[in-house]
Amino acid sequence: MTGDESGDLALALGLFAFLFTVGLCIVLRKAPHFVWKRLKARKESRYAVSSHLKKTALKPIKRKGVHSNDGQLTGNLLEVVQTAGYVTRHITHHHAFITHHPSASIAHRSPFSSLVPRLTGKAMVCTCRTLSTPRGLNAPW
Amino acid sequence: MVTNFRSSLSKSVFTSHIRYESNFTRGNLDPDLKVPPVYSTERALYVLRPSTLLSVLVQTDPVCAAVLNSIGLSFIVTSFSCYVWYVHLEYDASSSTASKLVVQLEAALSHILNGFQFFPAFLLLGLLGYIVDRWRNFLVTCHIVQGRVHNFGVAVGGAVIDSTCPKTRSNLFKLYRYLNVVHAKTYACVNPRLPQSDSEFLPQRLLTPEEVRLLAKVPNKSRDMIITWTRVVVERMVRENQVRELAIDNSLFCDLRGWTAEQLDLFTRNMPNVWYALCHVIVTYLVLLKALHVALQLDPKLLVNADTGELADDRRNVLCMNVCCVLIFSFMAASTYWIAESMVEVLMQPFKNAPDAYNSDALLCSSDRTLFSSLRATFDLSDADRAGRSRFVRRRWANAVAKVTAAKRRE
Repeated sequence: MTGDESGDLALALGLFAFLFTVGLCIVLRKAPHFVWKRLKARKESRYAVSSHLKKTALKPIKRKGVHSNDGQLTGNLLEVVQTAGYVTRHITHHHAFITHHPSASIAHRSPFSSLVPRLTGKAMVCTCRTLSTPRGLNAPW
Repeated sequence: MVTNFRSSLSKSVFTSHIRYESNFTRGNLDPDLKVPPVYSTERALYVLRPSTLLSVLVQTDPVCAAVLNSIGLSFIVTSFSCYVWYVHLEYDASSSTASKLVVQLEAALSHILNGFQFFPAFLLLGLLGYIVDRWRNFLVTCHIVQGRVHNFGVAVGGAVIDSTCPKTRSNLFKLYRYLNVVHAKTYACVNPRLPQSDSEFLPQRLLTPEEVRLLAKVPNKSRDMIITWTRVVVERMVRENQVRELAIDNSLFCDLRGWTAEQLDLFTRNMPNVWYALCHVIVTYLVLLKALHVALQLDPKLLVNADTGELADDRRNVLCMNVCCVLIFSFMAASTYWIAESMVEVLMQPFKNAPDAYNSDALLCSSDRTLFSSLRATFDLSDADRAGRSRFVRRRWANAVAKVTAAKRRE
């Protein structure tokens, strides 16, 4: 497999994984944990009294089950987003991409070839974690 | 505007005031008389402004769900279009075969869609036509029930012989209470803010504890029993010479019972469940086929340099454009059918809290006010007539005196 070919395959795979994850999250109405946490926080700030009560009541459950996954999941998603941004920037600003030089392979000259499989992997991990999110964390839609 | 109407649906004006007999039996000229409160609109008639219409759609839950599903599907389909793009990159002979297979699949899908898309479209159109008709039937029945209640008020209120009699006024108040309860019970199943049991009518003094005890024996036929009580009250008034005998038609009671029952029967007389299920399945098939067709529509010639026969250098630009186009067009293809289908869910429940909901509380309040005014229409009417007649006589006398005085002066 040439550099061009592996670059194309990586790009196709990365985009597939990213778009598929987003689509699946929307169809299944399961928001990643950090989004859900923000939505919940905004709602609770409006009703300060119940918010205080809820926080007190839910603290042990959070510590027990969900909180341990929280950092990992958020980290995965952030990395997916950051890597996607970096890859896009790299592709669009790379001289080989701009000049269309036939011998210039993006895959050979850059860390692109290793980034896209990482993006794919992280997106898939994120999908699995989103799908295995506990029922209590489902988005309120 | 949409938000204001929706907030009005979450309140009940009908249950917000107490019906006192002492207030009802007051004369119309009494300064202490309190009429039932003003109410919000029955239905929101929105201005045909794009922003208002858009907010009607956004605030309708099934439509939002359909839009979200369409967005999700378009993302998933777009992810497959990335593979299609890769398959069309002809590096070797095996990928060339895959590319031809994709082209053939696209042609086959196009052929299937040409022959298939009319059936789901007509099926959906028929279903929407039926459901809109049913929605309008609900509104018509609501107005007919309201009309029967108003007719009753006018017929009894106009037949009162002596409106100054306290017993007559007391019986009229009883009829006022019963008719309001009958009307409220008609919409209790669709409006959770209305009293859901007989005892919940006690705080508004629409029923007495004794009446609630009697109605407890017939929990699901209490509305019919109260309509019969109205007949009993009218009969008693006729016997006691409080209203004219032939002024009140017997059909008033039967019509009222019939139309209130019709209102509830409309929920049962729904379409066959299989029809909706079939429509849902077939429309979903069509949407999936259309979305897949959009994803496969990339022309492989775009990825090959026509001069050299090698892969084009700007093939990644082609991928970006393809992803954008597939995302947009597959969303449009999916949302067109799914939003139309979500209308069935919206219109199935005309009284549900939504921008197009029918406010049954406003209907009840309107009838409450009409009954209050029509049953008490004869109160103080004879006094007003007498006062008007004496004023007329006084004016005629004053005119005659002025004429005679003027004639004497001329002489």
